[in-house]
Amino acid sequence: MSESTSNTVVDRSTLLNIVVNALDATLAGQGDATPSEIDDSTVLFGRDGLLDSLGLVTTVVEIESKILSEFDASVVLADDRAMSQRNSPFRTVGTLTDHILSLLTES
Amino acid sequence: MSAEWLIDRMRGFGDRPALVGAAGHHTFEELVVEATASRERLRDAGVTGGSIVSFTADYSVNACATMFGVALLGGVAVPLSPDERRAGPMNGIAGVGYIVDAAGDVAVVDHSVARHPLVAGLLDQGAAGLVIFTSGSTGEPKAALHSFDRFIAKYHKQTRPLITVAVSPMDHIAGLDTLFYGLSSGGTIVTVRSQSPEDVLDASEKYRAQILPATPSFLRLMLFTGELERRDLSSLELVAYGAEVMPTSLLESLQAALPHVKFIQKFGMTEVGSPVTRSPDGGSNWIKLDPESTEYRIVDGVLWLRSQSAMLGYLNAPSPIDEDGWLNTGDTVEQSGDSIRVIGRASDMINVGGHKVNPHEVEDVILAAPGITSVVVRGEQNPMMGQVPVAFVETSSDESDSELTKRIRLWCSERLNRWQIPVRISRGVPDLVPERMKIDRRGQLG
Repeated sequence: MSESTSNTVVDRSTLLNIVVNALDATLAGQGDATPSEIDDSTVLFGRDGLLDSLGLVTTVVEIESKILSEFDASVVLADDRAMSQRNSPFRTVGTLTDHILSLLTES
Repeated sequence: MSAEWLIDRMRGFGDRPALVGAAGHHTFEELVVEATASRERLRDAGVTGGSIVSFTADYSVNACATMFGVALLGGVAVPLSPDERRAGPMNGIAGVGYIVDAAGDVAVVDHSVARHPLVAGLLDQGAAGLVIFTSGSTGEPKAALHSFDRFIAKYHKQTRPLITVAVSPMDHIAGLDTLFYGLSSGGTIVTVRSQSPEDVLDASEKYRAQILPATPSFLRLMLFTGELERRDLSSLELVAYGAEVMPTSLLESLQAALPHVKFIQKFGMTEVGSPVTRSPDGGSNWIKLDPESTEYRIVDGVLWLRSQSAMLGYLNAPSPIDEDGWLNTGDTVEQSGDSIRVIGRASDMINVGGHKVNPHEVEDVILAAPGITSVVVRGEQNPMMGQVPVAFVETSSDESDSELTKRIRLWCSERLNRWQIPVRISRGVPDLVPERMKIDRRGQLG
């Protein structure tokens, strides 16, 4: 599922930045404005989320590409485990960042 | 004429609810009254046997009434998505002579077009027609002409009335199947505000839905909303999925989240309709095709069908059905006894959560953007959508990769449906030889 060839220590704020930038790129590409403040509690998907289904897919692909280029690590965010979790990792900016962090830490 | 048995049956359902939800609330009686009124309006506007009539297919009572009104006059009904960017060219492709807007008003378009031989054939038989669009492999969507009479024949056998959520658009084979199943059995169609998982869950909960027909990708996204546990879906009995391959892991997650629900595989294709199928056991993706209505054979692992409910042909392309009536579905399947299971697609169409995307159509749009000198679009496996389109471009501009991505996506979003827009846009060429051949072709065109 995930493999890393480098031993770079990944800090959460870097990942948070990647998530926020990917969100911004998706919204801009749809012609939608990015909210002025984005933080951990910003809702991505589900009730009152900023993204619809295809927006979520686009954001996830963007994040995966960025992680591959920055950390040389290949992660699949929507894996079987993400699907079976009681609380969706795609709910907010914060839960998604934590999800990526746990995938990268394991690798 | 053709739709009369269905109209009579619906009349018998009286004040039972036929349509509820975002597109309005109407009883069967009201629907029949509207259908009769629509027939009169259409007749007054000049619609007769063989006339081709498009309408906004939004599950409103107007949309349903118009479809029946056209069928009662022996015309050809062309349901089109409310998205006008797509509806415009499709009217031309189908040779539409009358356009009914969302308010039910009829506009006369053009009478100079010669009648298509397939439409003339229907007229000779005194049968009505139905056109469903499909993504063509050469760029332009194809108009599949069905006999309305034959299309609705399978619904003659009455089934238990159930409350069904209409997730698929009304201009798709799956949406029409949902609609006719519901209306012919006295069940209720629940219409949704949008196809987002939240809106579908809202409607399912509010109207106590019993059946949810959906694609595996939609169901996966529904899991990802994280809301299933908080929702009251106790009324739900059946999830009927189709249009793409159901991964076993997803099916297991869904069964764990909704243990009281039975999951069954459905099979539908624009060209062959929705054959009657049975699931040997609930919760697996094996299906049995009803041998009375549909024959099948498997050639090199690919499914071929011959069905009474098959289309007559395309209005704007050669028919893919051979002279013996067989159609290559392009689906690769496994066989076990008399059951089959779809495992993939043989063609180069990209299946984005059940939406078929023609890569050439997307390439044409991107190539028209400023500064793009060549482009290749292809499908990539994606754990959320099954497949997604990705684009490889060469440019004469020097903007950054992220600027380029935003610009191309925005360009596409003004010209294409959401699911057609590449989720990733890279500079350079992909490393497959056949793809390079495409680039050469595109480069010459550009």
